[in-house]
Parts: sequence; structure tokens; C-alpha cells
Amino acid sequence: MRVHTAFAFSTVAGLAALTMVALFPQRSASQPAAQEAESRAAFAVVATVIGSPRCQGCHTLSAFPRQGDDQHRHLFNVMRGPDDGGALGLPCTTCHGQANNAASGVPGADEAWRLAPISMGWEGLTTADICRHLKDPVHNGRRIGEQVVDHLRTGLVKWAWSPGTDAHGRARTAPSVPYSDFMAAAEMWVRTGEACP
Amino acid sequence: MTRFKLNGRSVTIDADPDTPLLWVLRDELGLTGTKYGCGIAACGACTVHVEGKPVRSCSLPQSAAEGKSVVTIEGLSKDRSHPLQRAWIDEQVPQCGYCQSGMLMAAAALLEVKPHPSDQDIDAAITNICRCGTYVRIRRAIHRAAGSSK
Amino acid sequence: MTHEERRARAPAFIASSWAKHEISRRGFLAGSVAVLTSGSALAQGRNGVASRLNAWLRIAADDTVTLTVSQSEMGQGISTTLPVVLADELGADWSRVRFESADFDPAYRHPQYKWMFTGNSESVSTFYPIMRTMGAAARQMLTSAAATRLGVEETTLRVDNGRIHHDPSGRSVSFGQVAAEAAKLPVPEALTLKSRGALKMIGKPQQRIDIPSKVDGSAVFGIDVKVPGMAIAAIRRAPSQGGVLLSYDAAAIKAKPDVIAVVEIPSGLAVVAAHYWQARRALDGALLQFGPGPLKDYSTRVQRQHYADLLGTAPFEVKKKTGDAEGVLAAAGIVREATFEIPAQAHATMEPMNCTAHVTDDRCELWIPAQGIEMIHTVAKQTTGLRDDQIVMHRTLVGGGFGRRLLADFARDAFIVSRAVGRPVKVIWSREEDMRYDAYRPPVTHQIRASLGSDGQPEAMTHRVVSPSHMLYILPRPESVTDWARPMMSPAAYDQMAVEGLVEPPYSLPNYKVEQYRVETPLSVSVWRTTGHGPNNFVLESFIDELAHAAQQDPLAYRLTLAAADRRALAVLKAVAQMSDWTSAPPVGRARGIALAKAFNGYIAQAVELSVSNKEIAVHDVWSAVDVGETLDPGIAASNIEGGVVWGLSGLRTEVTFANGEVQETNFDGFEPVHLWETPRIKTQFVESGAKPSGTGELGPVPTHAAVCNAIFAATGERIRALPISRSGYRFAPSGIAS
Repeated sequence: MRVHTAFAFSTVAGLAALTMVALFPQRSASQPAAQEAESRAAFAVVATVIGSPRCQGCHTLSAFPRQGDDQHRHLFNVMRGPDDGGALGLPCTTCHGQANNAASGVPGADEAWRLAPISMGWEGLTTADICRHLKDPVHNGRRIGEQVVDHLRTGLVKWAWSPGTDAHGRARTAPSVPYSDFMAAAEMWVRTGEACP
Repeated sequence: MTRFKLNGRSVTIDADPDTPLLWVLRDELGLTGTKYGCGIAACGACTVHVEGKPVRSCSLPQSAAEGKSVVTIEGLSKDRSHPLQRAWIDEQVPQCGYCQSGMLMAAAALLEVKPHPSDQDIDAAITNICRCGTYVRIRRAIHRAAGSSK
Repeated sequence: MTHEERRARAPAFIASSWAKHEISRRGFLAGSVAVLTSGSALAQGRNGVASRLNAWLRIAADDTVTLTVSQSEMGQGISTTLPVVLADELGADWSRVRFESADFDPAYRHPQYKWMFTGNSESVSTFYPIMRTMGAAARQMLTSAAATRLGVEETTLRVDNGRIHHDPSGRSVSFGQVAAEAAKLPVPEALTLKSRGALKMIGKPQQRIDIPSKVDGSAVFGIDVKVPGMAIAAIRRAPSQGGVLLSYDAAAIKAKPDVIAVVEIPSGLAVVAAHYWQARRALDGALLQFGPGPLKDYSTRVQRQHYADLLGTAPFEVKKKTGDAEGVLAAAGIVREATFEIPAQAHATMEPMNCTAHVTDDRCELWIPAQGIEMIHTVAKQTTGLRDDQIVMHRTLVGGGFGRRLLADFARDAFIVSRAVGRPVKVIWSREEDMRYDAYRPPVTHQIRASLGSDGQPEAMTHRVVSPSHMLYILPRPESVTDWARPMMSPAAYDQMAVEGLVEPPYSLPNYKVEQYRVETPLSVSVWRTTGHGPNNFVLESFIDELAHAAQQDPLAYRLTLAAADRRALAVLKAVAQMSDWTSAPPVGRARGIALAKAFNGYIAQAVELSVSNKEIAVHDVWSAVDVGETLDPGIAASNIEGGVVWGLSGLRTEVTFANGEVQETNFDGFEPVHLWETPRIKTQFVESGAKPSGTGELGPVPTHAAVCNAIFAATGERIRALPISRSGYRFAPSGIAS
């Protein structure tokens, strides 16, 4: 039922495809059909990460963020607020600092903690829908091409790979794909024409 | 060494950088109005203002306050004259009182950005826990203070 | 402070004769005379002006009246309510009244239990008459002294606003002018209390004396105490209560330059440092290893099954029997039956447990946010081996009591650690320690059966309660304390709490039987705001509601018939019906529930209006009609009821559960009290029945569980018989109120 399970197709297959893409870039560029397949394969890797609860929690389509691997509604009635940075008077930064806080278990990043805008929400969307949204300026923060990849270098996105431990000392799960592979796939996806499933 | 402004005065802290600001305020600086309630940023009893914005000080390493302006309940006013403090007395809000410093600081942060909050604004901004259950009067006192600070 | 300084500061402490102190009404006054005599001498020796008229008040030459607050202030407003009563009866000028918190002294014991504590909503019912008596006695003594001074008959004098007036001559003297002479007079044999009309403050809302300090951060709770030379300790104990500390990395702790000492305490370790976080950090790195304790096999799942099995097999003890309930049920055509499960609860006071102590070879001084003053005094003696007069206790404000601070366990750690390091130490429990080492409200299981007569009213009812004792585990055993420190209750009374509210219901039940099986539990259990009344009322009032629906009668009308013989119950039911506009249908999409409680010497009827959507409950309104006899302060009483309703709502959601002996809810993420956005509009009205004044601290939440669940039934047709509501898939939604 949860959104991220929709992306739980074979990461292994995706990675294998990516490896092939990386090994034979020239061939893929020269043949449109093959290139599209490579692009789709690259996106499959990207989609695996997008499905991570670490990303989904703040790319919601609701008035509030979610948290935990079960993606429950964020405790304490935490709201998106008018600027995606929390309710008036209770910004996300009330609790979320510039780094994970080992003592309190509150995650933080070297960028002001906030939700993705509603326009960039993924909740309930299919992989194909999300893929199209990533290319659509209305849904990707008016980014084009490489600018989408630039977003993936921000502190909030990188946080997903070092999500820290919670208040009870339990480690949060990171995306199953390493960050470097994810970035390689994202770059490949853009370079190969941003094909969608 | 961390230097920051506390209730308008400069202070210098020599403590482990990761020490939560809460415990620096309480143990090193002697300002015990800011309370420890949960240590996981869940209850809000430790709410202070950093650069005018609310922060749960149990979850902020003191080193992150470097160069910033920190205001605690002791600095909200000199003489209980902040409209919220007056409203808190008029409405006889506190019971045990332990959570109320944090409540007041959270409410003050709300009024800074929303001088006349709706009930929904209050619902979203005041997520602090009060075990005595003073919420009805907190809501009333915020409205009262908003009215008086027009 | 030296011992001599202390003698001067708290003369009542010295003057009291510990062993022979009896607190009957006459004895209480006599005892106060003893306090008065030597006390005033000591006080005068200190500053030459203050004269002590009895254990509760002294008056200085500058007219300052200092009242002693014997009860712990934990938000219930008692440090205002009782002094107001005394000052009003005395005729004092309230603007000249000052307050001081009593240290432990037998003069301030609860006269029935002979035990100094604050709890069980008994402060008003117990101390109201004492405050009136003390105020009247002092007023008469001041009047006598004034009569002598002015050379007139006492009967020609009038006391008002801190002065004694002789109207015929137009002369007057102030309290301070005659206090020293008054203090030498004997306590009057006959006291005349003021008429109701002559009292100016009682019955009117007053500004609480403790509130200004609670809006600017200056209020001193236990955790805020600072004494010269003090160090601070963080502690960590086995996650399963009573487990053992197997090992830890002592070298890692000692390598931390800030650490002052490491002290082993029962089940764990205390690290002492100058500042809390230094100690806490050292503990975090100390690789503590624990072994299981007596709870190791305890789990909530097994407990529930065990209690369910006991319903049919245990040897129950009859606590109440009227008529022949079982005989009538056996002959009845239809017997209605329901089983209820109510979970363990944590107190989760906002201020975690803490205590500051300075223990030396001949002295134990402590600073503590406490309800159980005498319990702590007793444990201090036991732990340190010191005498009564070597124990010096300072009580701070209490950051939430709810019954938790009746215990002394959190003081014991401080005694041990301070003794070990030879300096004052403040021991602060983390929230996790506070949750793991609570003495929980015990889980209970009830089974209730009834048959209805031709009029739809219950003709027979049986009620079985499987419950541990709330009290047995927390009282000092008589054999382990000196004879003056008797337990608050006799062993025979220990278990009344498990059936209170059931054995004295407001209803006429012709054939009625209440039984309890006192199940042994390895769990540390104790009283929790509402004591047994909370869970018992949930069961009884939910079931009465079921019977009303079975009889196809309106739940209010059904209760009015059943409570016809109880004037006070009828009055609160009728009042809440009016407040909630009960006889009109609720707005579309909303439903109402009602419940009645007779508890803590008072009555409360509560109505709730809510809506349920997709298993999310938005509670919109809660109306309470309350009869506490005479409402001493309607403002403070209303705030207690309001807060009580929130406590009742919280208890529908929170629980503590156990797996492998470990508490699963260790902070406010897993144990989530109700927040502001879930809090409904709360309206409270007082019904003045003229009965003796009683307390409001715990009355508010008693009917809330049933009133809410009855409203959920009205909304959904689903009965909730197991708490918390999450067991039935429900959760709270924002109340959506617009004020």
C-alpha cells in the first residue's frame, strides 16, 4: 500500500542494466532505441532511491511530512506550512539542525530542513508519473536537464545516505543504492534523453 | 569556545561542542527557566529563540549557537511585561508550570510571524506537551495577548 | 545552614514531640500550643519580631502574616486555596500575607492517616476544616490581646483586614501590634467560625500565588536546585526493572576529565560530574551491560491472557454484596456480559524524577519535588541510619505529581550517591529512566454481568475485578520503620482502591455483588491520577451505557432513574444535560456520550460531543457538572477539571507495554499524551450542594474514558472495551475547534 513499495522492483536488475550502460556508452549513444533502453534502466535505479522512505517523507502531497520506514504521519502534528518549511511559528528548523543530532535522534542536514513543494510531491504516484514529473518544470522546480541532477547534490538529498540514528539509537535505513551509483544513474538518465517507463 | 549573545549579553562557553544548548543554559549559565523534559525534541519544554526563531535547545549543539542571538524565558521581558506573560497571568494558565517556559517561548515565536493567529495557526505552532492539560487556557491566553498587542 | 540556624528558621520542627504527637481536633490545637510556646521564643530569638500563633501562622510586628503551606504545590493550586481559607477566617489583609512551604513536621500530618503527604485529592477535604479552625483560634487570640491592650471587652471588638477595631471609641490596633501578646495566650476552648456571609475570599476565584514565577522562569523546581559545592549525577539502570549491572567500562568513564566519580546504585550506575551533560556523555560511552531481573519474563501479552484466565478460576474476595445477584442472574432469561481490559500507565510528569541530597555522617539534607514528604523522610532515615532531627528536607515546587512523587525511590539514589562522594549531588533521571523506573498504574481486567428487569433497569449485577493492589507495594512496611511512622492505611484497606467507585456507586442496585482478586504482580505499581476510580468508572459507566441501549432508553434518562435516590448525582446529571443541550439532537455528523462519577468525596457528570471519520476521533466539546460540596475557589477548581479532562483523554491513547520485562514506551514519541490541537472546548460548571468541601485534583478525568467511549458508540455502534483506543483501531484527530 505504501508508496515506496511500488518501487520495490528488482534493484539488482536495474544495477545490472546500469553497469552495462556504463560499460558501453558509445554504442548506446549511437542507437536511439538502445539509448532509450539505457535511459530507462538508469531511471530504474533512480526510482529505487526515490522510493526510499528517506525521500518520500518530505516529498509528500499532503499538508504534512511523513516519517519512519512505515511512513507514518510526522508526529506532533507537524505541518508543511505556507513555505514548505513548517508551520508559522514552528519551522522545521525548530528541531532539525545542521547535522544529525546523535543525542536527541533528530536528523539534520547542512541545508535548512524543509519539505519539497507540493508540486514536487510523489505520494501515490506511479514510477512513470514521477519520471514525467522530474522532467516537467511544473513539477521539478523549474529545473531543466542537468539542473535536476544538481538538486541531487544538495545537503537534504545527500542526507538520505547518512540518515543517522533515531531517539532510541536505532539506525535509519538508507537507500539500497549507494549515492555514487545513484548519481551516475541520474546523470546517465539525463544524458540519455530522460526516458520514462 | 563558543561565543553568542544571550538575552542581549555576550557569553563565552567552554564546553564540549556537542553539549546541547539546553544544558549549557542550565548548568553553565545558570538560567534554569529553560526545562529538560524529553531530550528528543518531542515535548518543547526546552524551547528558546535563536536568531528570533524557536529552537528546541535539547537538540541544538551549543557550538551551533556561535555568533548568534539566543533568548530564553528569562529574556522574554525584564518584568513579566510581555503581552503573553500578562495574558498567562490574566488567564491563570500554568498549573505545575514546568512546561510553561517552553509554551511561552513557542507562543512568542508564533506571534512574531503571525500577530493575530487563528485557532488553526495555534494548533500547528504549539506542539509542546503539557501533562497538567492547560491547553484550553493556553489557547485563550494567546488570543488575549494577540488582542492586546494590536 | 547550621543546626542552630535551622532551629531558628523552623521552630515547629523542634517543638514537636515526635513520639507523642496526636492529631485529634483538640490534640491538634494542643500540639500547636506546644509549637507556639517554644516556637515563638525561637522566632523572636532570631529577629525579635515574628510571633508564632500556631503551626500554620506567625505574625510580625510589621503586620506581615506568614502562612505555612503544608501541602505540595504541583499545579492544583493548593498553595493558594488553603492559605486563602486561613487568611479569610483570620481576617488578615491578603496583601500582607506571605507564604512558606513546610518542611516535614508531624504537625502537618493528615490527621486520619497520621502521615504527611499530598495526594488522593484529600488536601481540601482534610485541611479545609483545619484552616478554618486555625484561623479562628488565632483571630480570637489576637482579639483577646487587643481587648487587654485597649482596655475593652472582647465582645466589642471587630476584626477586619488585619486590624482589630473598637468601633464605639474609633480606636484600633493592627495584628502586628498585638501578635506577641496574643502568642502567649492559651488557645481558646471554644471557637466561633465566621458565618458564610462574613467570609470575603472563600468561594471567589483568586490569583494563584505561584503563577507569576511560572511565567518568567524564576520558579524553582527540584531540577533547578543549586546548592554550594553541588555536583550533578546522571544515572542508567537495567532496562528491565530490577535487573543487574554486569559490567561497564570504568576506564572509559575515568578517562573523561570532567567526571568526578562513578557510583554503583541498585540495578545501575551513577556518573557524577560538574554538569549534567558531562555525566550523561560519560555514561553513554561506558558500555554498560545488564542482566535480567525479576521482570525478565513479564510481557503485556502474557499478562492480558493471565488476567483473562483468572476471571474464571481465581478465588475472588467479596467486597460488596446486596441481595442475591448470582441467584437472579441464574434465573434470568438474558444475561449481558462484558470484559474490559485497561492497560498499565506511566505518570510521565513533565519534570523527570530528581533529588538533590547532601549526606554526611551526622546529617542528611535534601531538596526534593515531592508529594510523599513523610515517606521520603522515612526512607532518608532508613537509608542513612540517621535520626529524625538529622534529616533536613526542603520541598521545591513539583513539576507534575499525579501520584508518582508519593514514592521515595528517586530520593534514595541521591542519598547513596551523595554519601559516596561526600558532597551535595543532584541526581537527574533521563526521561527514559523516568519511564522505565516508574511505579505504574497497574493493568486490570474486569468482567461485569447483568440482567434487566421488565422496566429495563438492572435487576442484578456482578462485577469481578482482577487487579494488583495499588498501595501495597509502595507503603513502608510497619516492621521496617520506627513505630511513629505508621503506614497511611491499614493492610485491610490496601485494596479498596481496586474496587473504589464500585462498592459505593451512586446507583440503586438491588442485587449487586463486587469481587476482587488481588493478583500478585512483579511489576512496580502505584497510584496514578484517578487511582482506582478511573478504570473502575470506565467499566461501570460503559456498561451502564450498554444496558441503557439494551433497554432502548436514553443514557441520561436511564441514569436519572438508576440514581434517583442520590440527590447529588441527580443534580450533576441534570446540570450537564442542560450544559450540553442533551435533549436536542447533536449537529449532523456528531454524537454525544455521557458518564457519571462519584469519587473523591465529590460528584461529576460529564458529556462529550465528538465526530468519527475513518476511525479518527475529533473530540469537539466536553461539559462537566461538578459537585465538590462547596467550591472554595471556582477558578482554580475549573482549571483542575479542565486539566483533568485532558488527562482523561490522554489516558485513552497512552499505555505502557512490556516485552521481555522491558518497557516499550520510553519517551514522548511512544507515549504520546494529548496535545493542544486534540483538546476540545471544555466547559465546567459547579453545583453547590452544601456538602463538605472536597478536592478537584483527580475528579475531572474519572468519567472521561466512559463519556468518550459512549460517544464513540453513539457515533459508530462500536463498543470499546479494551484500552487504549488504538487496540480498536481508533486515533485522535485535531479537535478542529474555533474559539
